Amino acid sequence: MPEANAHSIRSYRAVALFSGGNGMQIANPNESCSKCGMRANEAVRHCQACGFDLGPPNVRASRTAKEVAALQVRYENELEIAKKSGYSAELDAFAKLVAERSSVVVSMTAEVALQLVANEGNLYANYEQLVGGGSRVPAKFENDSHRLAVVGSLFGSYGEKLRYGVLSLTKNGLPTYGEIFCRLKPITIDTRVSFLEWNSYRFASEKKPSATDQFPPGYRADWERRSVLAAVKLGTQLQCGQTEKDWEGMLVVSDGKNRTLDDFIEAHIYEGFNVFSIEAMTAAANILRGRRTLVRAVITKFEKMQARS
Amino acid sequence: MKATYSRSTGVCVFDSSGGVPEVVYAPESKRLNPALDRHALCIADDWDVTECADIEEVLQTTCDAFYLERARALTQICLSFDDAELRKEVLHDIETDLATRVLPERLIARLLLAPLVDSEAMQELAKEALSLGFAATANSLKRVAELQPLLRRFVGYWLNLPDQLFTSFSYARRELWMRLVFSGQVPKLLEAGSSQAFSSLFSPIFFDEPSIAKRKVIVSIANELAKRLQVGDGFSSTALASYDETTEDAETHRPVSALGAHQSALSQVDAIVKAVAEGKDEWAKQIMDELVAKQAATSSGVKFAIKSLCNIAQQCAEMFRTDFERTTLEKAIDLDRSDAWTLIQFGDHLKRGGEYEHAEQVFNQVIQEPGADSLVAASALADVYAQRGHFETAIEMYKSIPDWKAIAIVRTAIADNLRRLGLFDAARKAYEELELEGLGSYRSKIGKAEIAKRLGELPLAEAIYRNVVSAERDQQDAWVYKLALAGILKQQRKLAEAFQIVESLIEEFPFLMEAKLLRAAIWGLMDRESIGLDSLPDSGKPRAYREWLQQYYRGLLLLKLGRFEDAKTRLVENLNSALLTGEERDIQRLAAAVTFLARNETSEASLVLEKVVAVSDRYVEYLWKVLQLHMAVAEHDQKRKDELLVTLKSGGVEDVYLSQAVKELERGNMEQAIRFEIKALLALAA
Repeated sequence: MPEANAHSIRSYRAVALFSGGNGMQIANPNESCSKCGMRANEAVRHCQACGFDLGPPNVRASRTAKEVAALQVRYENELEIAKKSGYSAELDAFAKLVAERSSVVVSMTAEVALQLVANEGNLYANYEQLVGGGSRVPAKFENDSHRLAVVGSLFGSYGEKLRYGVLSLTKNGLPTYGEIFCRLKPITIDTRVSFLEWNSYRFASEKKPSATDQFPPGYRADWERRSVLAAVKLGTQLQCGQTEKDWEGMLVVSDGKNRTLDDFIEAHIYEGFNVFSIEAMTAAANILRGRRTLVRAVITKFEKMQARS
Repeated sequence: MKATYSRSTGVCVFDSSGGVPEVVYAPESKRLNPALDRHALCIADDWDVTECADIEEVLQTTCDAFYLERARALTQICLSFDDAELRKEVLHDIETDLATRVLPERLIARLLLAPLVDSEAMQELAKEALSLGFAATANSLKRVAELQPLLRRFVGYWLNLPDQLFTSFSYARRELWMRLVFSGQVPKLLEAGSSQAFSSLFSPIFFDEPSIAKRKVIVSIANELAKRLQVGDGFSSTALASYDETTEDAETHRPVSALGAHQSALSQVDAIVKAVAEGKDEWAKQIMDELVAKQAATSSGVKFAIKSLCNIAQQCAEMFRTDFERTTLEKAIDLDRSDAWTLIQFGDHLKRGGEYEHAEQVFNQVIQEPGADSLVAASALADVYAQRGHFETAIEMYKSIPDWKAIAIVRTAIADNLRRLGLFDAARKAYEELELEGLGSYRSKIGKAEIAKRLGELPLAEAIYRNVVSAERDQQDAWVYKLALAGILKQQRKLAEAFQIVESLIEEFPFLMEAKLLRAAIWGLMDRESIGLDSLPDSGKPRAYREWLQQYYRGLLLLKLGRFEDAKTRLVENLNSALLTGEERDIQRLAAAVTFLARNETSEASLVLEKVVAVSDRYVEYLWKVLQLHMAVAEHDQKRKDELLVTLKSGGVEDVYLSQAVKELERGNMEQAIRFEIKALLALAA
């Protein structure tokens, strides 16, 4: 049985290689436009020759043959080790659990979450006509150098488009980044999210110290292969007799104080999300007394909105 | 230095001395590591750019924006909570922010993002905040609710501006709107008293626009909006289709009886007036267009359409919505340019709005026509002179009417102007002669009551008004007399009866603004100023005759609540712009002086009091002297104090508030004195 399940994980890799989730068309791994055949710029979403939607660049980067193959090799090594050590059933169950139950959780301060739940048009008449549904930023800001500098060099020019979260089996995320955890609906992100085995700060320091260094393959995955990435990362920590509860705690590790000690699989979501992308909103533990009302208010409002929709 | 900041995260980014971008969480002045803290920087849609002198200013700007956004969003979500305990906690948080970090004016401006779907809910939340003791929050929310009708009207005009006005912008209508909202100037724009005031507020908001061509377009937008706000310009029916309102079912075209048509027209007139009262001007115009189209479909129906429009205009005037009154009258004139009654009503509108030359022109046009209308027009023309304070000219005008001595209303009008001139004996004689000749009327009786009132003989004035009210059968005239009676009762502290009268008037005429004003003043005299304020709509700066009363009562109630700055806006800043008769200007000056005295700003109070001219109303004169005594006490001018005390105690007006104010001033208790002075002012005007 463990063998059969491991095989199933291996086999859907091939299916996912040339098409995104939900039938979305994406560029083929050798990065040429599937419509006009011209070489595709790996940092942009649309083909610069014909305007065809190539798919989010972060997702494409995680789906190159080199990436997929490297991850597969690492996974097969893990399988071997697990088999020899006698916990291959756990590895299989763990991967299956991640494939079925995990999603992305974004941590945010109560103020950011407050903006998400408060900026809805239902309160105001004429709201959409006056402010529109998109960005409220004047166009002149789009190329501001400061913000580009903040988003870092790890992902090149599309870095500014990424939003960050963690892969989680529960509703919990990283308490070091805010009191509120937002678990996203898979359907709203599965075609535009990719995953990195560690947090990008640590990854950049240890594996890609400079912008010119090649991104080492085998550490990234798309939505379909997130369970493989999780299995590769945590395989050595699995033991016989562990429960789902144990695994939930292993996927996101944080002491709630020191961000440098956080350990997680980092999710990169291409472009933003709004309150309707959120499946569940929960509060972190041990919220400071002065912040409790704000947190409670935000979650209450979210739950009201959810009940209405 | 240039910096970028986020309203929702409180993070700002700027160049450090080494040229490396510095990222700081402003509320805690904590440096962030852009790479390590990338999770904290995930919101990207609310960043803005600012130019600041130094890092401290950058941090302050960021904190201001951060806390403002938090208070704004908390207020918004609080509106939807069912849990009273949670609402209380959130209101407490907002109150704390307003006390320490957020300017109430800025919160109000930010909450005017768009018209609220349910402004009642905001009003209710304001009441709840007040009952919980969160005064700053309550006042801010109430102001937001009060501004909704004006905002709704403004947004209607904004959305219906022609698209071609925006074509030269890379950012279009919605981005310009957001810049307006973030500028914090929307409340001021809504309350701009004139088109110039509006334009001078609007254009500087886009001052940083580098292109001269675009700045010119902005000026065009400002002018277009100012024009529409001022005159209530109409819009095309296609533009109206986008207006966010439920549309009524289309009328069927089957034949209807005359009575049915009449009732249908009346109900449409009611709907229009209601929409205007709520600030839903676009909706009102849409119903009005339908009504006019239906009534004017036949040649004989035009006169009914005109009557409907004049009826709407009259009700708009009563609720102080002179902009919509004008729209309606212009529409009526378009239907028939020679209809004398419409022209007279239009001339009266112009007169009340201070457009005297235009009013004279209109009345002169009607006078050329023979018949009874020209007599009314001549009287109306004389009224223009009277309103300008040119009472002698008005009298001459009346006397130029052929056979004026045989026309009772002309002679009564002459007597009225003698009264306004302060020639009480001559006026009284003129009224009595009319009565002896059998030409007396309610108006001549009222004239005598007004003389009695000014001489401080309030019981006599009250008796005359009671007599007139009980005898008057015409409903339209009756409310005018009832209001005057309520005013006299108010001045005599017969508050319960005065209140009963205004309540019954409001029930009968829901949009009668003067009754609402009187009721608010009575609440104030009953020491329930918050309720008074709640009951009083705020339609911004006075634009027409009698509208000053709205700001006057509002200002006094605010002053009673200790909201000096808000009171000052109403009582001092409107002093020069409001349309006032000489007597009314003196009353407004006294109120301005009390506002200054409440803050012990005696030199400003002195300047205002110096401008009060010799008054013919004894109550006003007495109050003027009381305020001079207040000044003398505040400035420790013992000699002046003694002189004034002698004058004040030697007789004059018997009034509880005024004599209490004098007693408190003698004791040096300025705070208590102010309370009685405010009450005297609330009791005064009507």
